[in-house]
Amino acid sequence: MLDMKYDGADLRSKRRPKSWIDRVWSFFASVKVGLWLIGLIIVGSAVGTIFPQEMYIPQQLPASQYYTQEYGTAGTIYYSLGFHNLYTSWWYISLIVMLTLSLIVASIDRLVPLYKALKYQPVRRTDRFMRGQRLIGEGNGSEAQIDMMEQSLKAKRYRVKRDGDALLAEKHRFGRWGPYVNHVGLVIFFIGAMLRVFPSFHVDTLEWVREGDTVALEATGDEYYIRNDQFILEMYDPENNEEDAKFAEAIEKAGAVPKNYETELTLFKKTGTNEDGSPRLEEVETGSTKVNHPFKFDKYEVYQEQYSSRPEFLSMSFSVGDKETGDIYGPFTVDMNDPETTYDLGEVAVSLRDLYPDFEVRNGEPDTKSPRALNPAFFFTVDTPEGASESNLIGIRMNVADENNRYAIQFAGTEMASTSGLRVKSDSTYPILIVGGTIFMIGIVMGMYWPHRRVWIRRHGETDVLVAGFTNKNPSSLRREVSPLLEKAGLPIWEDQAMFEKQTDANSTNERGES
Amino acid sequence: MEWIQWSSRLLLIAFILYAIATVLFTIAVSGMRKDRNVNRVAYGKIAFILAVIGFIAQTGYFIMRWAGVGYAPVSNLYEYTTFFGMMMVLGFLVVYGIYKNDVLGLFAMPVALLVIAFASMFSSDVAPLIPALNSVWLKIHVTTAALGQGILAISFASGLIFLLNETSMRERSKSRTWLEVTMFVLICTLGFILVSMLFKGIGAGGVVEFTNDRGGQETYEYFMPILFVPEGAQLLSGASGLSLELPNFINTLKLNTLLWSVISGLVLYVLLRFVILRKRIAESLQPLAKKVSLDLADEISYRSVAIGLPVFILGGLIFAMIWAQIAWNRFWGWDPKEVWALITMLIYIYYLHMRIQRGWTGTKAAWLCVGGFAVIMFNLVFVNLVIAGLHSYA
Amino acid sequence: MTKESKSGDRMQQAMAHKKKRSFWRLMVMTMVLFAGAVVVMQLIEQAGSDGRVAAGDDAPNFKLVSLDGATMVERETYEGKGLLLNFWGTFCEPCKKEMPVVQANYSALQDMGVDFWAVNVGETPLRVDNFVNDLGVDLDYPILMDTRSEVEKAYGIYNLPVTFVIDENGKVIEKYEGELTKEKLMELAEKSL
Repeated sequence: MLDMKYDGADLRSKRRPKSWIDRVWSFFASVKVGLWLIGLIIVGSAVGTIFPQEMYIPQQLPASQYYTQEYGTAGTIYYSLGFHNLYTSWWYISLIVMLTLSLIVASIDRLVPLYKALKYQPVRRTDRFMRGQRLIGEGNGSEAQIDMMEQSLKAKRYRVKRDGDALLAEKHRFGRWGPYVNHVGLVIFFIGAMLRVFPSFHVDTLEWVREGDTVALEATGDEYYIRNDQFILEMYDPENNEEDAKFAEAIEKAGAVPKNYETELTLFKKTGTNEDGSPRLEEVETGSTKVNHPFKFDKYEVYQEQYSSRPEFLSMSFSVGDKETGDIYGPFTVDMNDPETTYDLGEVAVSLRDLYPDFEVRNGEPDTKSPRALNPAFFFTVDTPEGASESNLIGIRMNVADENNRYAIQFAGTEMASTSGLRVKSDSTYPILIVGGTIFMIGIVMGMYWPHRRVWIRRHGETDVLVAGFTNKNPSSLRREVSPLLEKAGLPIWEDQAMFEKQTDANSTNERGES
Repeated sequence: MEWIQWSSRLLLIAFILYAIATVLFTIAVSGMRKDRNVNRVAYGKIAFILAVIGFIAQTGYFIMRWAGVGYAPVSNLYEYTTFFGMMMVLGFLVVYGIYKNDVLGLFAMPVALLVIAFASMFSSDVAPLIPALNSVWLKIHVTTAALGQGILAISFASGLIFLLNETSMRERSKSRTWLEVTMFVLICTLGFILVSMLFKGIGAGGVVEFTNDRGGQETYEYFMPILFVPEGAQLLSGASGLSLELPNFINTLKLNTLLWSVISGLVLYVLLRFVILRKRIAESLQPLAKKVSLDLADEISYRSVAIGLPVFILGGLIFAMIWAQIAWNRFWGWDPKEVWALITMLIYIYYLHMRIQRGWTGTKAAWLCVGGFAVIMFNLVFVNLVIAGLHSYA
Repeated sequence: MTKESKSGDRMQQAMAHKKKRSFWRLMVMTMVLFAGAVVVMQLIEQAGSDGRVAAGDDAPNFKLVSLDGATMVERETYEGKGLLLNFWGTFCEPCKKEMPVVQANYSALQDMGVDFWAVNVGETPLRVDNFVNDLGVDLDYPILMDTRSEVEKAYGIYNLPVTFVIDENGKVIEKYEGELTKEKLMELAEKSL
C-alpha cells in the first residue's frame, strides 16, 4: 500500500541531510523523536506525583527535612534528586521546550509539502497510485456510469473534478489542516505559559488581613489598599436549616462541613501621603470575595484563599470587684497590640505587669508560645487604697490569685478578629492562553471530526474502470458512504486492502447494514 | 429523601437491564442456545434496545439524585464513578450506532457493569458540598471529563478485542501473558465487589484503634475480616481474625482490602481457569473476539479515541483549568489529579501520533488503549485513595 | 521535487534557495531554544526568591525603634562595616540561649566594626521588657521592636532564630538559621566584613 500520510509527498526532512542545520532539523522533525519526548514527559510527570511537590508541603518545616521525616529514605532520595520541584526543574522544562520545537519543526516540515500536494493534485492518477490506496476496485464500467457517479457524489456533498473520463471527488480537505491548527494553538498557549514566568505579566501575592485592618496590596505596587470588614465562615447546619437537614447523617459521621468562606472588604486607592507619612486613602468600593466568586477591580482579582482557623483577641476588658463591699470598678480595656501598663479606676489602680499572648507554663514559669493573641493571659497587680499590691494571673478559664485578696479581677468582655488570607493577583497572559486554548480545540475538532475523503474513478483500458478511495480515518465509514453509490451506478465495488489481515472469511465482519 | 430512594431504584433497574443486555449480546455473538437457529441479528437489536432503556433509567437516577441532593451528583467517588459508568454506556451506544457491532457490546458492557458495581462500594450518603465544589464550572468540568473518559473506555474494549483476536494462544508471548494479567485484574475487581458485598452482609469486619505516626489516635473501620492491623492496635469491636501487626507508615486498612481483592480474584480465577473453562481466560474469549476483523477493531479503537479525546481535553483539561482558576485562583497547580489527567491526554496523543509512524500500529496501539484505560482508572481510584491531593474528595 | 537541472543558472537558484531555507531553519530552532533557555534561567532565579530574603539579595530597608524607645535605627543609614541582623522572639528557646553569648562577644564585634541588631518579631514592649529583665544579663546591643511584624514580613521569616549577614553595601552575604554559638557568631562577623 502507498504511504498516503502527506499524499505521497516527499518530506523535506526525509531527504538526505547535508549540513548540521539540516541534521538537527530532521531530528526534531521526526515523529519518533516526538514520541520519545511525549513518553519521557509522561514518565517524568508521573514521578512528580509520588510524593507531594514542595508547594504542597507545610511551610514550617524546610523541604530538606520534611521529605526525610515524612517518607524516610525514599523521601531523602526524592528530595536530593530535585523531584520536590520537578515541574519547574531545568530538565522537565527542557523536555517541554524540545517538544515545542519538535511540534513546530515537524509541522513546518509536513504542512508545506502536504499543502502543495493537495493543491496541485491531478484528477487522473497513475495505476500504481490507485492500486496503492486502501480501497480499490476494478471491473467493467462506462463513462456514462462515471457521470452518474459524479451526480450521486455531488449529492453527498463531494467536490467533484473531472478530467475527461477521470473523476476526483473530495470532501473535508480542511480536516487535514486540523493537526497544524492545533499545533499553532498549543504553541500560542506555551508562549502564554512562558510569559507567566515574568513578573511583569503575572503577579500573585497572599495577603493576611485581620478583620478591621487595612493593608497595602503588594501585587498592585501598593497603589490599592484593602480593609477586611468581616470574615464569614458558615457551616452546614442540619439542625436549624431545613435545606441542610438531608445532610444530617453525613455530618454526624464526618464532622462539621463548611458551607461558605467569605470576606467582606472595602477597597481603597492611595491618592497621596499624609504629613505623618501614612498613606492618604480614598474609598473606591465595597464588595466581597468568596470561594468560586473572586472580587475583581482594575486588572486585579482577589481570591478568598485561606483563613486562620483560630480568631485572635484584639482586646479584652476586665472589671475589678471589691469582695468586701461588692463594689465594681471599671471596666477597663487592654489592647493586645499596644497595651497600657496602668489603668486608674478611681478607688483602685490596676497595673499590667505582663501579657502573655499565647499562654503556656514553661519550666514552671508563665510564658508565651507565640506572639499571636490566641490564648492570652495577664499578670495584673491591683494597688489598693490601703497601699497594698495584690497580684493576679488571669487567663482564659484561669485565675490565680491569693485567697486573701480584697479585690478580684473578672472578665468583662472581649473583642476578637479573624484573619483572612486573600490572594491578590493580576495576570495579563489570560487572553493569550484563551486564544491558544481555543485555537488548539478548534484544530482538534477540525482534525478529528472531519475525515478527509477522496474517491478516484478512471477508465482503464477499453472497458475497465478503476475505483479507488482514500480517507485519513475510518475507511469503513467511507465504504459505507460510497459503496452503495458505486452499486447504484453499476461500477465495480471496491475492496478494503486491510492493513492487518486479508479477510478470508466474508462472515468474519459482524458489520450489519453492509454485506 | 423520596427522590434519593427513587434514584437508587432506577439505578438498580439500569444495572439489571445492562446485565441482561450483556447476556443477549453474548447470545447474539456466540449463538449459544440449545436451538441452534438463533436469530443473532434480533438478539443484538434487543440487547441494544435494552441498553438504551437502561441508559434512560440511569439518566433518571441522575436527575432524581440531583433533585434530592440539590447539586449535580458528581461530587464524590460514588457519584462520579456511577456517572463514569453511565458515560461508558453512552460512549458504547454512540459507537454501536456507528458500527452496529455486537462483539463490542459483549466486551464494553461488562466493563461498564463492573464500573457501576464498583461505584456502589463507596458510600452513597448524601454529603454536603464544600464551597470549592459549589460552582457551575464543576458540573461542566466533571460531566464533560466523564463523558470523554467513557468514550475513551470504548477504545479499551475494542483494543482488547484486537489483542484477543491477534494474539496466538498456542505459543508463549508477552502479549499472551499480559492479556491474561489484564483478565486477572478485571476478575480481581469483580472479586473485590463480591467479597465486599459478602462481608458487609455478614458483618465480618471490625474496628481498631491505634496511635498513628504523628502521635494522634486514629481508628480504622474494617469491612472485611482483619488480616493486618497497625502496630499496637486495639480491637474495639468485631472479630480479630489474623490481625498481623505491621509498621505504622503502611495503611493496613487499604492493604487489607487489596489483599482480600487479590485473594478473591485468585479464587475466582482458579475456578474459571481450572474447573469451569479449563483453559486461559483469554483463550476462551478468543473465538468471540475473532468475530471482528483486526482492521475493524483497530478502526473502532481509533474512532473512540478520535471522538473521546477532544471531549476529554475539553472537559478534563480546559474546563478543569477554568474551574481551577475560579476556585483555587490558579488554572494549573500540578496537583496529582491534574498531572494524571495530563498523562491521560498525553497517552492518547501518543496513540494518535504513533499511528503516523510506520510499524507502530496494530498491537502496540491496542496495548496503548489498554494502558490509557488503566491510567483513567488509576486516576479515578488510586489518585483519590492513595495519593491525597486537592481532589481527594472525588 | 524539481528535476535536477544542468543549467548553472538554475543550480545557483537552487543553492540560494537552500541557503535561505537553512537560514530560516536555524532562526526557528534558535528562537525556540532561546525562549526555553530564558524561561529556565528565570525559573532558576525565582526558585530562591519565594518572598524570603536569601544570600545574594539586597537587604530590604527598615526603620525601627529600640526597646527603650530612645533610638531609632535605619538599615540604609547604618554606617558601620558589617551588620548582623538577628530576628528573635521571647517564645523561642534557642533565641533565649544565644542572647548571653551575643552579649559576651558584643564588644569584640564592635571592635571589628560589626554591629548586632536583634529584631523582636511582633511582640509588645511590655513582654519583651519583662523578658529582657528576667534574662539576668544586661544587653548592650540594640533590641529593635517590629511590633507590626512589617520587617518580619519583608524578610520572609518562618523559623527563629535567624541571622542575616549583611555587608557594607547592604547585600545579604548569608542567612543563618539556628542558635548562635561563639564560634558561629565570630564566623558570621568575619563574613560581613
